[in-house]
Amino acid sequence: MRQEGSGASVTLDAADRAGIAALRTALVSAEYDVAHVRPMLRGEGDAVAPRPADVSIIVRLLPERGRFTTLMRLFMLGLEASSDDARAALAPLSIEGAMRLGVLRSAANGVVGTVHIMPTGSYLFASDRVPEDWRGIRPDHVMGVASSSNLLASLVVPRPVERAVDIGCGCGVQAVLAARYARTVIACDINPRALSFTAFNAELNGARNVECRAGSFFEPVAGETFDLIVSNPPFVISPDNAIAFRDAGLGGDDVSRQVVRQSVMHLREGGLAFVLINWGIGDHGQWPDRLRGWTADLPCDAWYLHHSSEAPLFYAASWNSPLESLSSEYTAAIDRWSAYLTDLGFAGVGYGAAILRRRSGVANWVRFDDLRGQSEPASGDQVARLIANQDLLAGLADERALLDARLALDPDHRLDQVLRWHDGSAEVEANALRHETGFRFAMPVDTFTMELIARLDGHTLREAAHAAAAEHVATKAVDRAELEAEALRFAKMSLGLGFTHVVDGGHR
Amino acid sequence: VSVTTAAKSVPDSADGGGIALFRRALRSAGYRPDRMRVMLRSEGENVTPRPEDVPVVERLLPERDRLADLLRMFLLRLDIPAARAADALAPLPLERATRMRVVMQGGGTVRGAIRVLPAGEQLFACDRELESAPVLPADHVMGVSSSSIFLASLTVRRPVGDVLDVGCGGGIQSVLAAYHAKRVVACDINPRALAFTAFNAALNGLTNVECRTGSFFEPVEGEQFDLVVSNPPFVISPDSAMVFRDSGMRGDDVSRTVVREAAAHLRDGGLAFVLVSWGIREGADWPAPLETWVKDTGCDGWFLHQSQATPLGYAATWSEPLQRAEAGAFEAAIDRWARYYRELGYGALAYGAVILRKRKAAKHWTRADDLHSLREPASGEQIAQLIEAEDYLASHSDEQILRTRFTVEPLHRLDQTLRVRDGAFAVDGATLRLETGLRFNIAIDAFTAELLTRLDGRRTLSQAATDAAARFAGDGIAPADFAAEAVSVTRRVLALGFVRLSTR
Repeated sequence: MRQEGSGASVTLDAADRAGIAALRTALVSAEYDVAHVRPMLRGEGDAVAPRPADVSIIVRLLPERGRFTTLMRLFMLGLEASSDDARAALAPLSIEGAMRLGVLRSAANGVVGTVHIMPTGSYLFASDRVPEDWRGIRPDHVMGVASSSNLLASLVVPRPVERAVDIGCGCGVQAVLAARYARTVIACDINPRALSFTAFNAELNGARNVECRAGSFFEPVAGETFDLIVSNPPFVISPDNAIAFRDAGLGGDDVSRQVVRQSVMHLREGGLAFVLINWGIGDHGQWPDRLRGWTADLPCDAWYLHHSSEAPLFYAASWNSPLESLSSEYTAAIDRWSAYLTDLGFAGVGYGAAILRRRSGVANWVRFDDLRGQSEPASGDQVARLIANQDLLAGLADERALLDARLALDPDHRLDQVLRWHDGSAEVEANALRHETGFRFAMPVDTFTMELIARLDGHTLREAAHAAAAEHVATKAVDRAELEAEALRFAKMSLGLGFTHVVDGGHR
Repeated sequence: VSVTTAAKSVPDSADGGGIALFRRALRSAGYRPDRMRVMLRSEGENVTPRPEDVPVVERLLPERDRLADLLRMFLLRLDIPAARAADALAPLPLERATRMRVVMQGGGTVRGAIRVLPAGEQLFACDRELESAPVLPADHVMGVSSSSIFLASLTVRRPVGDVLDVGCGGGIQSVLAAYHAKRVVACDINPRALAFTAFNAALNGLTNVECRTGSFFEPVEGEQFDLVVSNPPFVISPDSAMVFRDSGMRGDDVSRTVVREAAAHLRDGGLAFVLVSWGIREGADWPAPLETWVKDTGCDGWFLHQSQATPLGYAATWSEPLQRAEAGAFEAAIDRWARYYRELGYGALAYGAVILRKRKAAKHWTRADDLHSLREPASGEQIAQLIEAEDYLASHSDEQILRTRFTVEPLHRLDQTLRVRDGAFAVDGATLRLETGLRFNIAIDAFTAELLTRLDGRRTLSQAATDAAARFAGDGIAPADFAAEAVSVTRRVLALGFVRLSTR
């Protein structure tokens, strides 16, 4: 049950294309995929690796023998397997081949995996094994797929581009995923072990267009520009400087701010950057306060998403939770961390993402959305539609032009009504339009708006508003100007939240 | 599970004056769930923080504050200087608190000898050790848990004569029942549990709780009660080390026995509330075993299914503290437990409650509700109302129901989802939800929605069905079909408490 030290001797041979292809064949043919692996992990929601405490339960849930069981033992649970079992499970890759590749080594009673392999979507990602004891973690530990990687991946707009870069690529999740859309992806990391995993994972997933470069943040791509930038940087605001994937060693929230600003500098005109960030929230402050200054002087549109925030003590506690069992080290760490955050003047730390688009020579927009409480993945298509709507709204010289535009309702919607009994009849108490995928924005609507929405198809906004008013007793008395103002309020809000889009007109 | 047998102290329940002073100290400092929640920043129903969160909570507590110091001593298990303990315990003198074995002193610091947990407006002392500890004494006395809160929330709180609490533990159910009973008899095989029960009765200012030592119903042989409550050691396990958890009986015999014994000790019209755990055979429905339990007991039976687990999951849940014991202990336990369930033929193990009502009748009703995903706690008033509904449904024909007037209950809501279809919003789904007690919900169709708006207490069901059917004229449905549908719908919504008999 003991796990070995965290991959001290792991060196992967990313150049062994035939070996990696054979490993992939072994994993895929044994159904080592999301559909079969995920249900075994006992985790809640988007749990991405088994908790060490669950390993002994998971191993009992697995069939006693078989290739899938052996691969789970080797690459998910960190358990030994007999050489015979391993040979059968890894075929067509031989045990010697797997050892040469660096994913396997001898152990007391057979062999053991040296890496953790996680299926994600239709992909497989190798990373360092989850350490049983975080105190022994190597500074150059390479993390596997985490919930933050899923969040970032779900934001990226899926459109074909020329050049992409992944800054702080870790085991290469974003780089490999971006390789679907980009002709070339440059993956950068200061940690050479991370690049070795990235190269390995690119090959494992058949992505031949990923180029790895060693260096700090944007150093390896100085002077170069890109159509797409993705980054899940070491954004944790901490007084420590121990672990490369977590602590950048810069002060406060400078890591996040610098990656955001550098991204804009490395974007081509029209290019998009997606960066996960942490930032400080001042006493009595609002979460967007500090973010406003980050990109105000740069030629870009900026969209900031707030996923959650924590008070210093709780932030310190969650990032140091691996130390929980060591009470004196744990309490010392949370005291050190909370003092550091408090000295910075942070009453809270926000977690979220920045979406940036380089656009020069125009009035740029900035947008803030609070996604607290949303746990579902975003949708890159929705992000693209919202950016288009934001452009349209920001570009309106006179918003009354929208009255002559034709709007269409997005098919991804539903209207949630709450009714309550009053004197024998059910009365509507709340009425909200909601998305069913991507960001779950909600927009309150009233009965006039419902009539308006139902009439959008084939009419200009003005026509729909007047037709709706004719059907809606309470609105009949309202004068024309007020009616049109109401329709404009609806149009701006529904476009901003992506419930509608403009079919034609309204651009001027 | 390894067990230490060290005889531990129990608080002194004989010093009534001292206990009254202790209550005043706790009350005057604001040792109440609402104040505690704010100070501890607790979320969810549990006020007590997880042990690993104690360092965080400790840092949130104010320095010079009596409530904070009482929480340190009696909830967080932290030591404090003697002078501060004396201030926090006032008007109970520190020396007297020590003599009462409420606190322990040593080296200038004071620690709580007990934990004190709130449940509703009441306070309950229990052993200082946490139930999550890898090693617990066999005679450990548990604190307020989610299961005791669930049982307490189910119990109908109407004035009664004699109440029996079987396996009373720290006396939570006994104390709560004592407020609406003439007399409560609390039984436990563990004398330490009875000492805590007596202490807790006094701590809450009650004098009508009588403690008796003995196994299950032994101490009340031949006696009958108006209300029986029991949170027995229902865990199905091959072990018998911990009195509060493992009964030593085979399989789910402990739950079955307590249910049947409770029925035997009920007076006519009396109610019993028993928490249970039972095994379900592969392919069987969850109520099947419970049906056989209440057969021939002279009781109506209501079965509530809270959740269920696979044999391995059940074993892992109850063996979880062993993950902090020596290496291999956890694995050995889950293998042993899972093997035991295989031998018993269980495909799954469930948790829930059985409610019984003794009644002289030719035929008794049973009812089964799966509470899976419903929010607790329940409400005893709701339980009482639904028992009345079952009585009504069991004793009335469809024709009688059609001639009856019903009224929609105000405390519920209708959630509708609409989508734009062919240029108009159309209803895509509708669900009725209760907003208090057990949050029953039921998906309804257009006819049901129309019918409900006509259950106004003035029309009979038959009239309401005819009126609602008018909205569907032209659909080619016979009036008799509408009437039959109306009865079937009404039986369902009455049983779930969305409508009631009109009093007009």
